[in-house]
Amino acid sequence: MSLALLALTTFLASAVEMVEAATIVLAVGHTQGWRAALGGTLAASLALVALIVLFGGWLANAAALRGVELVAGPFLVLFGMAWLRKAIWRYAGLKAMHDEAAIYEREVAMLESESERRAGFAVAFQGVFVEGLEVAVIVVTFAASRAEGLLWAAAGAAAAFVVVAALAVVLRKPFARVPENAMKGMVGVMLLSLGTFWIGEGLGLTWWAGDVTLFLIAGIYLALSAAIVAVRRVKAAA
Amino acid sequence: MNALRAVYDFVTGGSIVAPAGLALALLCARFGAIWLVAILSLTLIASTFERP
Repeated sequence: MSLALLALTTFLASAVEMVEAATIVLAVGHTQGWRAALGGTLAASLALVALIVLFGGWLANAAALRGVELVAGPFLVLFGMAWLRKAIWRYAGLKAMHDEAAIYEREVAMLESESERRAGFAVAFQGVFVEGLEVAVIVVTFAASRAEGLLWAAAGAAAAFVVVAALAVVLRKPFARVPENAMKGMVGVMLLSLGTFWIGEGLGLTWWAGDVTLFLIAGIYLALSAAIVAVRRVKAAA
Repeated sequence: MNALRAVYDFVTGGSIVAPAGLALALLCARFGAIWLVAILSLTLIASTFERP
């Protein structure tokens, strides 16, 4: 159950980040050619895979060590809180929703004014690498937390990469209709819940309902987030 | 200094409240699992009051 949750979390996190990266890659492809766009994407993907294999493989060996959850858990809590509060701000109307179509137009305008052809490769590389780095860190963190965690987490991220890449090839336009904020919120709740649960395990705490407590914690954070959004919306409207 | 700031922002999302709340939650967790969840929940609430 826990391993499938790791795969689902990295699938969603990777899907959100890859949707954002695809917008940049599509803009590069349309303005500066597909060679630069796909070259930058391939180079960044290889760099991310190298990071995961290098650090993930090393940390996977530490998964059996006692207390390693006390290192991975806090990372997940901080990542989860950052994702979740951003989603809360957007739902509460305190921050603008992510608009892939507007970002695409901005990237196209910027790239059309760029005469240097190598800029396309660099922009595609940076877009994919920066968006993918957080997912790579999450995958590596999962690797440290559970035996076989690396395999499941990497499989979830890779599956999302394949789905988004395939859709980008077929549609050849930015994904304006993907519910990015809802996905970000879900990833935030999952990371925060897993981080909390693992910190508890690392400290040797007794969870009220064993492994099922993980879902109770996720329910608490989800309900709390919905309440914060409702209160902040009312306050913003007043 | 800029590199340190970039790493800090990458890990915390630029929040000051989140790492402080996490540290407090780790300290108070010795009193029971409920304290860990309660303090992290309060931290989440407080962190949404930081500037978006």
